[in-house]
Amino acid sequence: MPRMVPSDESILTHLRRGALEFCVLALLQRGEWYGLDIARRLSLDGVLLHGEGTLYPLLARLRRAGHVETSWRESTAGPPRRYYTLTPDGLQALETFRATWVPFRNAVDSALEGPQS
Amino acid sequence: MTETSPDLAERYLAELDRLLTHADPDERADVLASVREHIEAALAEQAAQGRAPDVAAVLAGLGSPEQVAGGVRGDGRPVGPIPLAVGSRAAALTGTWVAPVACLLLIVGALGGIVFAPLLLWVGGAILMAASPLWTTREKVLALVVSPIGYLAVVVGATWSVWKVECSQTFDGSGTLLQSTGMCSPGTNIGASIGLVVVATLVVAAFAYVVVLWRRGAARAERLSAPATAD
Repeated sequence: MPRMVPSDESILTHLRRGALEFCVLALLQRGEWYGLDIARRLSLDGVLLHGEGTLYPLLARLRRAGHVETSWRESTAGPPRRYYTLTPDGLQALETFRATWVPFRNAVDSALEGPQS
Repeated sequence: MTETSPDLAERYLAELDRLLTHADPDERADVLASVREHIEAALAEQAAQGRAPDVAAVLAGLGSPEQVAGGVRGDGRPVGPIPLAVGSRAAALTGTWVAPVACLLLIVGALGGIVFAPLLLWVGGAILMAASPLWTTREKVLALVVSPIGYLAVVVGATWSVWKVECSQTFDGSGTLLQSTGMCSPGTNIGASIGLVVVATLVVAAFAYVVVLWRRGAARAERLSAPATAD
């Protein structure tokens, strides 16, 4: 039954769901970005983002949840752009994720590698 | 090419809009506006680099409309941000009322001049504009610098009319002018007229700029908040 074996892409899709939004928040912690730049940065290796457009539903939800804010800026090329910045709520969510992620990653790693002797 | 590039982008957006019919209207409008912005920015970038616009490549980078819409629907799985106990921030000042109110306050506050609580109205408009993400920093600074010109004009105008009325001349017995205050000589009048024209031009330019910002802000608020019906 080959159907029961998930593909690389479907595993990645599942893993992204829990982690991608925090990658966006972490990116914004280091400065303000506009949509196109965030999309490019996160889809560089094709691991975090598959299709730049899928970023925008995520950004819309982060904005509605008050984790990011947008503001218009002039651009040297083309129309003004909306820049995204991290809010205090977003920062708090990011810190919570950071604190949770490390033990989670370690637990997964140790489960995959088997019990350490 | 069998179809023009704008058609390709518009078809993509229309398809995305159709797929989002049942999504939350706010989210639908936000996603459509951001994806449109992404396409425009990518094309502007290509143009800035002297390349021919390649809409197909930009759309390929975005992924299919189905993929993007799948992110909105979440395909039945919860993918929203994890809610925080602290409760989320109040919605940013991006409503459709923000642009008219802020700009009207700036104009009326400035024009009202010395007549009625001008400072209060103007400051209200200024705070609203400064706090709203609908305008760029440059636009805000320009508007706040430029709009008080109206106030200045009213002060200058009032001073001028008072001064003109108070023209008085004193002569001695032989008809020699001893003292003159206000606008009595034609020369002063011409100077003052030119001054008035300059001030009036400045005022018109200042308010024209505020009106431009009004329209820009309203358009942006529209893009952010109105349920998109791209038909």
